[in-house]
Amino acid sequence: MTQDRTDGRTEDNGRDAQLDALLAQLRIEQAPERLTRRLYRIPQEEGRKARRGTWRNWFRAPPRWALAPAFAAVPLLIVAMLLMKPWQPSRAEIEQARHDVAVAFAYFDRASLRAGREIENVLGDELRHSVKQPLSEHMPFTESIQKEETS
Amino acid sequence: MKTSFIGKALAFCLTALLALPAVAQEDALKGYAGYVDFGELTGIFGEPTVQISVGEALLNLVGSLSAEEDPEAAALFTRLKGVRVNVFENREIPAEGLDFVRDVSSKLSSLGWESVVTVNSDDEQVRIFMKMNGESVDGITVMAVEPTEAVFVNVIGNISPQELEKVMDNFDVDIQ
Repeated sequence: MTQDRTDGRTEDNGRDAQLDALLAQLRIEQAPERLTRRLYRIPQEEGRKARRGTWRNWFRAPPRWALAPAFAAVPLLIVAMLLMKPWQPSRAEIEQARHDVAVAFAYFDRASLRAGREIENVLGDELRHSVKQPLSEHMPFTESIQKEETS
Repeated sequence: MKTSFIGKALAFCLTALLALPAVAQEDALKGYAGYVDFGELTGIFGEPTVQISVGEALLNLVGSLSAEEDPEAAALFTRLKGVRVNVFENREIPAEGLDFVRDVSSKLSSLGWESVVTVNSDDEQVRIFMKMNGESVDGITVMAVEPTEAVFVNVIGNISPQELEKVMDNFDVDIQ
């Protein structure tokens, strides 16, 4: 087994030496100048293509997963634009607001009037009562007038 | 089935978008000292027959546009921050309605509102409150509950009753 391995190695070494000797015999030929220039141009051209490719990628169809957030972003963008836009009410809206305020004040006024009437009623009765009561105690004729009023 | 779900979702989104300005209006008014939180009115009185909420921006515009024809009203409008009205008409007002007015009244008193008018009869409750800030007024509130009607008004801004009377004469609104 060990013998086989050493034999194999010496064979390989022999072949390598042969190959080296053959390569040494070969003449180094210069490539044509046009070819050399073209070869040198390759890295530059590839770089340009790669740069152009990044711009082209923008116009390629986006991956499917990117479509869902893109579609969701559209209404959000519209809402954001509507909210950012300075609000300008129309003539009709202003008229409506004027009418609304008038209605509000009308209800306010009505409630105040009713309250006023109620207070007036209560105060009127109470005042009449508080004036008539002491009078009837001291002057008997006022009592008969009071009775007539109630009957 | 899928389409109906999408339809429902779209309808919900649209409703939410439409309701946004009204909610935003109420939220904007909440910051003022003259604002009154009436609480859940619909829970007691049902759906309002009249509901108005006008904000500062619109009131200022109304003021500036009516400056020529009615200078007094215009001056008042520009000093107003908001006007809110809730009216519940043509229905039987529950007994809780009267208790509700008493509760809100005590809450307002604790918040520094001054009671201007109080009517306490068996079937009627009327309260007028004013929020004073030194010489000026921050807001006026009216609550009137009767057997078939309940009215809640909140005027936010610097307003005097005399001024209100003058302006009311110029408005031609019949709410009877």
